Amino acid sequence: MDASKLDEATQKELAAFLERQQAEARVQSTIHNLSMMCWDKCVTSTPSTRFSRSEEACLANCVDRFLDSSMHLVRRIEEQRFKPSE
Amino acid sequence: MADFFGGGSKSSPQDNNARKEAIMDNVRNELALANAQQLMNSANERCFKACVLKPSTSLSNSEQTCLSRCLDRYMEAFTIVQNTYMARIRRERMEDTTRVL
Repeated sequence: MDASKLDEATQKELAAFLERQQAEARVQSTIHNLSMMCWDKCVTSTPSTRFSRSEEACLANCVDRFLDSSMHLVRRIEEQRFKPSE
Repeated sequence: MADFFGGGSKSSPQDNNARKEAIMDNVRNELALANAQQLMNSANERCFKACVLKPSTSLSNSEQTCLSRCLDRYMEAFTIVQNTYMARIRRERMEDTTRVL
């Protein structure tokens, strides 16, 4: 498909569309990574017909605590950057 | 057909629109496909690990039952993770806007 044959307005529209799709793909990829990581941490027994209450809670907590950890590390780095020890 | 390869003449607005829609559909399909493939790959890896403990000459009935359940659970886990993540993103965004106001 040759995008150069499209008029300017359409090309701009497509560029914006692609950016949105790329952002969407990044979110999806994060969710896949979190799913794998949290599955490995939380689902240790042989899969049954439903999750136990604790497995379900663990999966949700895993996501929130991962994001907390990530924010904690960012704050830590910024502290060190703005308050050099000497 | 000549016009398609020639490229000299301007394309009509309808042409423009049809091409745009075709490109968008393509991108959306590719993304959905990549998403489904990633889900299947990670489910397969994890379910094989959880259900096929000692690979023998064929899959036993109990291994097959385990695999089916595991796939269902993996999808469910993905949904839980997705919902939690999206809720968190929305929450953070709200806090950001209230801080600005």
